[in-house]
Amino acid sequence: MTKLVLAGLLIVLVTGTNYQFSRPEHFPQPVYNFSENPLSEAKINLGRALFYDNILSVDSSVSCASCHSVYNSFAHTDHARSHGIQDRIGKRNAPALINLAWQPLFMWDGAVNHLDVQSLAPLTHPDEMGNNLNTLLARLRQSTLYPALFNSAYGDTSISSERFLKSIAQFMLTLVSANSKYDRVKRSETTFSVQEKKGYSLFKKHCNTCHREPLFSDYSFRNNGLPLNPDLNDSGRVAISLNPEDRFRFKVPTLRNLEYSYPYMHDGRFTRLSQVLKHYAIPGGNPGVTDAALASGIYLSDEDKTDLIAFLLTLNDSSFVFNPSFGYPFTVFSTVKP
Amino acid sequence: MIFLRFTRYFLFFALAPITLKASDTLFIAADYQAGSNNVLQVFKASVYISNLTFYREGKIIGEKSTPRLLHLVDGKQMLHVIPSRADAFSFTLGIDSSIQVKGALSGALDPVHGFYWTWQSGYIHSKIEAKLQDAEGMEKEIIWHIGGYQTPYNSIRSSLLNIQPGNANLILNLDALFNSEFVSKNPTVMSPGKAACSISDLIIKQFSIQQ
Ligand code: HEC
Ligand code: HEC
Repeated sequence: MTKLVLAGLLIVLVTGTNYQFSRPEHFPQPVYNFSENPLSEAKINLGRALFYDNILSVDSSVSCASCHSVYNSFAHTDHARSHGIQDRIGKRNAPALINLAWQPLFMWDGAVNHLDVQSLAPLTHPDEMGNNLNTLLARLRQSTLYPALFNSAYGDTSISSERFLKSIAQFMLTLVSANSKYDRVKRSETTFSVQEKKGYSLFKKHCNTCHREPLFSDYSFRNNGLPLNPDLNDSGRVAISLNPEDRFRFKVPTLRNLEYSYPYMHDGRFTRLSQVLKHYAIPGGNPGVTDAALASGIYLSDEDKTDLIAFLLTLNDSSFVFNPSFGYPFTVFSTVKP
Repeated sequence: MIFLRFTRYFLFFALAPITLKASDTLFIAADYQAGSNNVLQVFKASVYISNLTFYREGKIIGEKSTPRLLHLVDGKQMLHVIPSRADAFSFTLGIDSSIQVKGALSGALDPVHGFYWTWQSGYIHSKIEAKLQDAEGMEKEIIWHIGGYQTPYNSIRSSLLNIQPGNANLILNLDALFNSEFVSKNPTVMSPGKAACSISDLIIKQFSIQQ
């Protein structure tokens, strides 16, 4: 595959230019251990190129960005469930990729224990990219682009799985979203409207136990009472932990950027926030729910629902989805393929 | 049952009776008889060995924690030089859980070796793939990809064995492993869990020292 790129954009960056990861003031300490994978501009750019390159999939048809689009806060909106090579449909919805440096486990069931190894899962999954690591590394070594990018990132052209994986992780670590209206209120740069304020109180009362601010997740695994979809028969966390208590528990997702990241839930069953609230607002509790935070049920009047949605919309960060350093990195002069 | 071939595959060579005190060596190998027993063919017998520790009278006199990935069907391989007057050693079958959560690693732990599960983080510590024959002459394949580091299904196991002065061979007795009743009940195990833990218990017991 010859993909002519504005290589200058990527390669000019000098090896070792450190990238300062800055923690938003109102955020806790990240859990990612940066000392084992110190960020640099060149490595992040390499990771970004890899993230957007369909060279990663076996038939060069799919990139990470095919399922994780910047405009959807790196989720996937065309399809409720992920859409891989040869139109194969997976069993889960692609989550938004936001603030991953604070997330201890990945995937809806926590199957992946470190951001560095996350890429291995889609890369080798037959319904996603269907590739294998050795094949991919051989391709990268033969490409016209990557030896130079690895050289500027690591000081030599050697392309190893560790460098490959850590570079993609570096790019994903930069996907920090902390500039929504909510964040600006926290920084005292603006104030909530009366409606948003009411919504915030309702949020703190009913939702914050699990969707804990400021990340809007406590990253635990919970059962929020969704009825099982019999076609998918996805029992969630238990498949990984093998602990029967984890049946139908899924990772609590962040509520940031919901405007961009629909559809919602692990199988993308809801497309609108009103449907989500209809699911939660069951006075007396949803029959399937065992989680203490939801067991006694939530009552929300129609007005409450409008207020709560108004608050949830303050979590949208348009500067994140339109951030030019997160977008497609290649400038294609020619699309000729051999 | 018809046996076309009766070959004893000792995957280690006959030992020359040399006793070079300072450089006694610990080797590792697998032992099985292809064709004689119920084992028709062994395709794979690979293990991660880490935390090699040598003792004299209960005190540690040498350590090498770095994990090694050993493909035992390739024949006998050197594990380590035995520190002089060591009388015992221990090792871990598998990778410590503190390493399993470290992300992308290189060398023996590079996922390119195919011993890293991609759909669920964690290393496979033993890959054993073989064609066996049961008492009725029926052929069957066993595929074991054994691992898992999270409680309660932590499959990592250790063993402590005595050694005499001289070279030593750490032998994995596959014949005994394949003769276990457990094999017929669990021919395919490729994920962490209870079965993986039981198989790990079996595997670690089949390691012994031959000198
Ligand atoms: C075919 C679509 C598809 C492709 C291609 C894909 N992903 Fe995903 N991604 C998903 C789905 C679906 C999930 C959730 C899977 C699950 O929970 O089982 C996911 C989960 C993730 C997560 C975990 C997020 C979280 O909050 O837990 C990360 C990180 C991620 N993907 C990064 C990547 C990277 C990097 C690539 C490219 C190497 C990639 N993805 C390629 C569909 C895809
Ligand atoms: C008991 C913990 C808990 C509480 C309380 C809770 N949620 Fe959730 N929420 C979850 C879990 C777990 C999921 C993912 C469920 C799944 O996909 O199976 C989720 C998913 C969501 C999603 C989908 C997000 C996405 O990206 O797919 C939204 C929106 C949401 N919750 C909003 C709310 C609101 C609003 C409240 C308060 C009225 C609330 N939640 C209360 C645990 C909780």
